[in-house]
Amino acid sequence: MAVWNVVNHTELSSGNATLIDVTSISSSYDHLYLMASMRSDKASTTRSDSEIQFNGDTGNNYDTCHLYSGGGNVTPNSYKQNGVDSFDQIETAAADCLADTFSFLEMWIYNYSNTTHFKQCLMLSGTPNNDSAEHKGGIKVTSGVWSSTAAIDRIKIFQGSDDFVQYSNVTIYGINGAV
Amino acid sequence: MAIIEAIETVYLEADVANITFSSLAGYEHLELIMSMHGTRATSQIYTEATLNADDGSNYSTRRIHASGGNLYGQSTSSDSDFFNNYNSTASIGSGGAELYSYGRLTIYDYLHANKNTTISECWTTLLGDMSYGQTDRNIGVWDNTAAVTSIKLRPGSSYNFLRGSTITLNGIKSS
Repeated sequence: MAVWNVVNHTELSSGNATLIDVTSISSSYDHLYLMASMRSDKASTTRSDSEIQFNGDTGNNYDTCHLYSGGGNVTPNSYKQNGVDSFDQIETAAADCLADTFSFLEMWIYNYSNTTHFKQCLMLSGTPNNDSAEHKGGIKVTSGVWSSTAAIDRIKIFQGSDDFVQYSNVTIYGINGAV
Repeated sequence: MAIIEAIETVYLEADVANITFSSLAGYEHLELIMSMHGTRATSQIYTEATLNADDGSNYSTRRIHASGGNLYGQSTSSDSDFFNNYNSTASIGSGGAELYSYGRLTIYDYLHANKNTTISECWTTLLGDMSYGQTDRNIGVWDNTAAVTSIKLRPGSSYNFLRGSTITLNGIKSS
């Protein structure tokens, strides 16, 4: 049995507010892992935010803790979001970022099909840029929990009021352990 | 067919000035797993990276850095390589012979003709007695949309990588 399996790969052929809304994800893996490359069309800023929801849940059931650096020679910031309606503030390059530059997201969703535990996630995201000023790019290390014991069978990555640009993409991997 | 494949592993049988990978085609992303040590006798070295032999001022890097009681962000741009002096690497002069620095470098969408090449890296060096150590989370962009056809690792300031350093290049597929 293969350890890594591709569940879904999507690349946008044109701008869209939703990067993916993948449904009917099989419960046959141990963990899920996402690798995404994203850019927003949000104007007048170098950085924007992407959001993630599971199973179409729009309730206030998501909590995150972020470690963030804007790249200035200052102490990084840590902050949390409790009881919000998505995993929010995923680093996403925007219109004023260096042209053709996309942010990345790596996300682990541990034991996603377990029906006893809440779902713990680790997200690494970043917006590189050729402007070294504080907040013109950003690095985040984010832990998250979705307070639901439901098996995850749907993942949506979206923006609130802006579009992902063409060529934004994401791959969802299913990860197996030993049988 | 495996989604992740080991493309090449380099184990240094002798000290070298640089390491180049040039068989890269066929994947969505690349990943380098590095265990590195330098020959510098007086202090640490730095593990720098260039793509497609480009030594122009086209690289930008940001980081979160932690070392002992130090915690700060930092950024640099218009550089001739990734990382500048951001991923301090164990050498004869810092950490002794037993300590190798560890790094995991991911290169995203490296063949995409419409994207600059974006990278991220976790980097760590730590002695067991805590007398020397640091952890870095680095990200960067190469301002070029060309497909990446080669990756070169080099120690800064004309030092060498020490015999025993090991690097594995993995390819990650998306279908």
